[in-house]
Amino acid sequence: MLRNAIAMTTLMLLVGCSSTVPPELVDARAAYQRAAATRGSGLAQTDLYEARQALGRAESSYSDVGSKPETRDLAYVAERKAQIARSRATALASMEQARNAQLERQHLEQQRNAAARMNLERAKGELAQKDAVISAERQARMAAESAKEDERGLVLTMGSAMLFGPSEAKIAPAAQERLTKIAELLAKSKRQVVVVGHTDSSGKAEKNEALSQKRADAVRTFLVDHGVPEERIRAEGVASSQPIADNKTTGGRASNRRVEIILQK
Amino acid sequence: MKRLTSIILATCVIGALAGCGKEAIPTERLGRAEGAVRSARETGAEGEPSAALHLRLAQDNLKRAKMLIDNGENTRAKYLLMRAEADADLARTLNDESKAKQMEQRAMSDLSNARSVPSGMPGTRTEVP
Repeated sequence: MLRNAIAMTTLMLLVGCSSTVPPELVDARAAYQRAAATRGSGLAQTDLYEARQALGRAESSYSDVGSKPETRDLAYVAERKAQIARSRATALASMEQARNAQLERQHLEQQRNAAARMNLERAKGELAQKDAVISAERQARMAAESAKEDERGLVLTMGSAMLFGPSEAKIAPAAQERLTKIAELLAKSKRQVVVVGHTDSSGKAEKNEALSQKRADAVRTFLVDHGVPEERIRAEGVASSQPIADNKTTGGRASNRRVEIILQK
Repeated sequence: MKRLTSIILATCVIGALAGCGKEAIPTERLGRAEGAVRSARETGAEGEPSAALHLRLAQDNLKRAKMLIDNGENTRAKYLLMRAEADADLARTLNDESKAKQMEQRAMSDLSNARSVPSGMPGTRTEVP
């Protein structure tokens, strides 16, 4: 170790001229350190290797001839090569970041497209369903003897004569097709349903109450049997308490004897 | 005697003209340095501030090297050409780096925009009248 130091000093004295390290070599060494430490320097291995070779040549020249011009030129070149290595590593790292960002954006857009398609399908489905309800309502209105909207909702009215014929509370075959159409609407719609049985004012009140309730129940049962969920539909009998026509005339009493199927608002 | 002197004189003149004892003209280095400068210019290094500096250094050294070659100082010219080529290469690399950084910024900015756009993500319902 000591022998080397003596040899070195002797050599430097022999070389004579300024043996302080030339600034170009100082810069070259620093530049190499920076290049080696750069994030992504693994990506520019060849450039870093060339930089190391160039620095080696400059160091050799320095130890051979000291701070002669050729040493400084070699150091100048070595510094540039180190800067090249660092620059290339940075550029490669940037391009990779760019690529990653592009991939992520594409992925996002794919997700968005998929979501948008799903929403579109769902909207189409909803539209189709609403169409179906509108169509069913049209049919149901035609099936009923009369249909109107009032503060209670959509009121479909069927006369008791048509519904029950001569019997107390059995749905007449002729009325079944109509009631089936009404059932289809009720099933498609999400609204609550009330079936209300009415009588005219003739006869005893209790009898009318019992009859109107029985008839409302019969219609309700038919509707439930034809697809209306039972928790959505109830039946009540109100006897003659809600007349729609004058009970003094035959026609009026006939009008009052009815069942109303109400789709509530 | 006179003839011998003439021959010696002639040889020395020819030798001097040929750069006898000096290095040959560094044609290969010259070609490489010129190529490196051209390459840096063509890829737009003049437009990038840090690159432009090194391109300028390269061009200056290249010019001086050519003058030295004309004067027969090939050794010195060789070293200047080395410097010129190194600076030109660096100019091109710095320009490439600048472009790569711009590309990265654009990509990040695009990604940021894409992330912030409110859209029909799953869970959002579209109102249908």
